[in-house]
Amino acid sequence: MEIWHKSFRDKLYRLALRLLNSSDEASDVAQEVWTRLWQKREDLPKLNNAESFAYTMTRNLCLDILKSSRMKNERLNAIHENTLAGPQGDSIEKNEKMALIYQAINNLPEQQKIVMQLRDIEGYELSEIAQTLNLTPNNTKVILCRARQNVRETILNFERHEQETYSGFTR
Amino acid sequence: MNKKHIQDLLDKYFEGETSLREEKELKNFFRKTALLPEEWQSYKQMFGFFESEGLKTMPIKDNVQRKKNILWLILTGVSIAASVLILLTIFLPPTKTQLEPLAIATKHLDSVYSKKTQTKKTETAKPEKSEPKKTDKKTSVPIRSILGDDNSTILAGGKSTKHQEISISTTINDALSPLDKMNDIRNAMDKFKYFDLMNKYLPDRDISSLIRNNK
Repeated sequence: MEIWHKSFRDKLYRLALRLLNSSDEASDVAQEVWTRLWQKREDLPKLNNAESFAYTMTRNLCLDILKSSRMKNERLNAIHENTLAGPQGDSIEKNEKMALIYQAINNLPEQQKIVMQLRDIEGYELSEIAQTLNLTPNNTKVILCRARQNVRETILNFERHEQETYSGFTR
Repeated sequence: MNKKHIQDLLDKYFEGETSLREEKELKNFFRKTALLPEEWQSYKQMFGFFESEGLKTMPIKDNVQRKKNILWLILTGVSIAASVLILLTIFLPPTKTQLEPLAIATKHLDSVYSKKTQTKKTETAKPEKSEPKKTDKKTSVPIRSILGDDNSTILAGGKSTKHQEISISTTINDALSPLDKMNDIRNAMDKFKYFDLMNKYLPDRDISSLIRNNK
């Protein structure tokens, strides 16, 4: 079965990482989901889609962690640290853009984050994602559309702001 | 033509209407194309970001890291034990076996000093001296060479039989070898911080006066 493959565990890890912004916590979640799946391995064939079941479990675990850590108010700091040490590129300018995109996705609501992660990064069909989130495919498409437009908006805003500051200097 | 096609795909993409295959096409296009219109630069980064994010793998920490930790623990434990051992060998008081040469040497010195006080001329002890002479030779060589002049003058002045020569050389040997040994002992005592012994056996005696006395 494909879900026992290491690459699938990495997918779970990436989704958890998207939501939690912490490599350690994301690994723990992925490991935990994998263990729970293994404990339920006999029931898995009864499910029509074991993968989306695993994603749902990952999502729920992550949201639980977020809820409890938000109460402790630790999350904000973690996010900040992670953005600073975020994606790496060759040039400063590229790095800046990458950080911007990272931040744009990071600022999305959880639902949009999950849909974008599973669609644009992992490449799942909308119907599969819909199953994971217990939504209709149409709803999922709307969420995906919003997520993409939000990201584009953030990038365009940044560029507009950049141009303004440039023209401000030249004046 | 191509640009229009991509623009259409982009429009569709942001409406959430693209299929997975079309999205792959977009990703491929932005990955392979270096020269792009300025308004598309950000999209290149965005699709690149999606692709690079999809390559992230879970850090292997569970077993390997634990093994590494254990290895680290063992290594640090061993190194600490080794350093403690080294420190102990340096600072612990020496054992009996280590002090044995010192004891023998001090005994020897005792005998030398007592002999000196008894008789200044040791002509009668000729046959006995021949035995320790062998062992003493090695240590007495450097000082003897330093004091070579004295030796020759003594021999020249003596102008006597073999008997006398031997007696003179043995007395010199006797006088020199304790000196030589004394340095060793002094060093040893210094090393082990035996200042009491040093005061007892090695008073502020001028070496040259000791040699003259023996002559």
